[in-house]
Amino acid sequence: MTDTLSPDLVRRLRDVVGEAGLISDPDRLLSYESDGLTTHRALPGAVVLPADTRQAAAVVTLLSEAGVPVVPRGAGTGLSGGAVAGQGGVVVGTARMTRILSLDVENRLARVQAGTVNADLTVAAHPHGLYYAPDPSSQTACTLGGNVAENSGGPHCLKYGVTSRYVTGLTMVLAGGEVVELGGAALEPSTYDLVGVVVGSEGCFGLVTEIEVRLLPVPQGVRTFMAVFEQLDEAARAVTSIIATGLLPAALEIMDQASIRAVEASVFAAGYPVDAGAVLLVEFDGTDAGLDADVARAVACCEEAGVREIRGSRTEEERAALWKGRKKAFGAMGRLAPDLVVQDATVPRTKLPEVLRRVGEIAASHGLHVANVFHAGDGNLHPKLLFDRQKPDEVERVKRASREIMEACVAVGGTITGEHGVGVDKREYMDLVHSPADLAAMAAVKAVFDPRGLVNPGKVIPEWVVADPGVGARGGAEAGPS
Amino acid sequence: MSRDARACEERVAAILGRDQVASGEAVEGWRVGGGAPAAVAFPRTVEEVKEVMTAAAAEGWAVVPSGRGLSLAGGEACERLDVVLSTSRMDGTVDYEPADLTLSVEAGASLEAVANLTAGEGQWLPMEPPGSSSATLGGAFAYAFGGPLGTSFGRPRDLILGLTCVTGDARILRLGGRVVKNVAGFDLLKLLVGSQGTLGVITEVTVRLYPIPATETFLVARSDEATDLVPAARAVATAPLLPASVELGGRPGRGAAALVVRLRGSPEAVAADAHAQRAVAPGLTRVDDAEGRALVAELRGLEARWAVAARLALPASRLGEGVRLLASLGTADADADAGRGAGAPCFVADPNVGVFRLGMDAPGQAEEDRLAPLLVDLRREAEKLGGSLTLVQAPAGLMGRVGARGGLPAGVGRIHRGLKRSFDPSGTLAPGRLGR
Repeated sequence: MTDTLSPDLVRRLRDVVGEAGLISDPDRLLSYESDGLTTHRALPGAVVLPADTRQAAAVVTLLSEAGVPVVPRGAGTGLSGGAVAGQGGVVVGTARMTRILSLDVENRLARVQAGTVNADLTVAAHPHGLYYAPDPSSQTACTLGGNVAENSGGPHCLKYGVTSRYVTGLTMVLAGGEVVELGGAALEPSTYDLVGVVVGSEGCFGLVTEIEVRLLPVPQGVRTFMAVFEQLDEAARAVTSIIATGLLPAALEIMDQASIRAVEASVFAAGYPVDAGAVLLVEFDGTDAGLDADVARAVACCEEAGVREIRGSRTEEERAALWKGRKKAFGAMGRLAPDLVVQDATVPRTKLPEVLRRVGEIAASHGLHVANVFHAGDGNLHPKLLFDRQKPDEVERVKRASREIMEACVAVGGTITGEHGVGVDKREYMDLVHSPADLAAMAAVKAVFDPRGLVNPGKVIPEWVVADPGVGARGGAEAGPS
Repeated sequence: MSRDARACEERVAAILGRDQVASGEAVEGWRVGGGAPAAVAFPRTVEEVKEVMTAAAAEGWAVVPSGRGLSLAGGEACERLDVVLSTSRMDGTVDYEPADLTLSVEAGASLEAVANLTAGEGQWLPMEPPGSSSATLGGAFAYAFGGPLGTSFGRPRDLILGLTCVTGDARILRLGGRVVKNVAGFDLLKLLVGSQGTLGVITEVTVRLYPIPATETFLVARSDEATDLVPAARAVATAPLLPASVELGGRPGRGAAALVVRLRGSPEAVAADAHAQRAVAPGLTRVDDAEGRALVAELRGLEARWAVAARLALPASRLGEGVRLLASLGTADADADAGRGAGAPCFVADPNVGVFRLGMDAPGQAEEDRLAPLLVDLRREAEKLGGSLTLVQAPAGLMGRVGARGGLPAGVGRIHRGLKRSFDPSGTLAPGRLGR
């Protein structure tokens, strides 16, 4: 394996995908050097953009024969370095596979190419009264293929669940280039739940080219309000109280003061009060007739927790503005510091106040600024650490703080990532939550799908893990027709 | 009892103690698809499960994991059978923090016990798999049969957050976790759910709970012919409303079909939904809550009343075709009434997803002979429509002739076998189940 691909291989790849589908010019490769997490960078040997499953299979076959690693990539909005190609690998991107192949309104199913942008599917389904539920904050850019790889969540997964609940079938190109169909509309599988294990596999099991998902009817009504608190703790208490009351909001999102100020100072200003300790966004959806009563119950919970102000949204524009500040918070932070790391961890909901205090202490002890935006209903935190990567000392402090934050979350029964994935970034934390036996089992399952380790190598599993020795080579899928 | 069987039973007793092993006549209730095990092991801890599995791997025993043995007798036979390993004595609560809406219990806890425990906090596990509520949680996730709440609250795979299991080669794995969002590593948890004991013995599970909705209301439409209710059932399933469940139950040609719609939520929302549902399907009328609950419970217990139980899955839009296909399994009414053959199967369908649960009798060899080719044909028809037919319970002869399920889909056979080997390298766990 070398860092430069043989001219012959490049020519044959170009024969498959055409001139427009192959990028090998070093200047253009630069935009594929990292994903949304810019601290991990590596230049791919080339970028190949097949237009459909047939081309994708041909590309993977050529790369497999040459022993070149394949790194699947969607929009590159990932936040764990999962789509970065090290080791002379070739990025196989889905940027030209953006077609919605079918909308089966009667069965509430859609079949799309993996490069379809998340929000585009909802736009297409909307005239039929349907939508696609998982809504990661990057939904106007991120692809469904990427969502499948990361098992993406989003603010509304509190009520509706994450990507895996909605994926019913996949077309996948395996490491050797063969194409398999997994799952299918009839939800009574006759095999192990292969769709279930591929969703969230971070592109390490194969290249997903087509996806079948379940759509939901658009809720009849929506109510969104913002609760303003002096203290972050009070907002967290309100969340616990809303859940304990038996309400099931569609979303419960908190932003702390640092995040509020970043948003308000940016082009995404949403009218959040900059002197508040925290704002809590609460949304209910469903049967219109029940929503005002739900809102009243939730407002009562906020009042008990000491809310300073409640702001409703009377119009769709006002509602969109409340959400815009939340969804663009990440972008808004860009002006606070040259670089930032968005951390991602989940803790039991009741541990949120304790963990948030601890995150603040950890950042302070390393002389770092932290801003918090999080899915409070799920206990999913996203502390953002601000830094400048030109200053090696700051980078080092961010690393130490990140590890301490992960340790603090794990110590209260949480986990190291709730929705951004492990990628390369969190491999070193995997043993905080998994035993060597668990990690070996993961490596063995990867080896079943990808016996030669050519699909997105070096991701998710720490380098020191080997597939369980009791399984070893036998863990791989045997050769020959099935 | 053969010498091998006695040696096996004595070895298990040596590991667990005499009071945690059943043998001789006591294994009769633990037959697997007709075959009797040498011993039934009742470990109390995950370490004891590991010890039994270590011995099994060393001795080459075949082990069938089970909860209370409810699905064994009529279920799929295994190629070999030495030990049934029951987790029914592991039924403790490991961790319950109501404010987190999560619960960890040992795998032998029953659905009923979990319902009672969580109801005290106004919470529930919205999972109503077919069959008895005395089934264990471990068994419910190992089979992972969806119930009517799947569309509104998620299938079993969506409700489980973590589990502990012991693999065929006696490794203890802790998969998933205790938080509601978790993508730390590959999601091996999904493989165990629905694996029917072929990958590991599930010893502990963590589930996601929901608040019990304040109000529950039942709407019912009745007809002599199930076919007549199909349009209403599909209208409800395709309306822009998400009821807690929709079920169509009946027996083609034999009268007394019912469409049951269950609404759960706040009083305000349920009242409005009931009105909207009746606008979509005018035949629906509200029944009192006790009657509604009894009806839902009856539909859930369908399998318990019949010797043969199966699941037919079709695209949801083929609901009507499904009802017609079921009619093909029956003999003419006159013959059925005269005791020659049987009428069409009793069924419950979920119009949201096109899954039919069937129940029928196969009294005697002649009826088995009649049914076997019809079931094979039904499976072929289902597969043509992109669906499947799974035989869940049947007399051993019929199960053997029809097979529990169709073949593996093209291309996935070697992945399926590779996964089996990676969890169970020497084929200790339920050998032969779920294909080879």
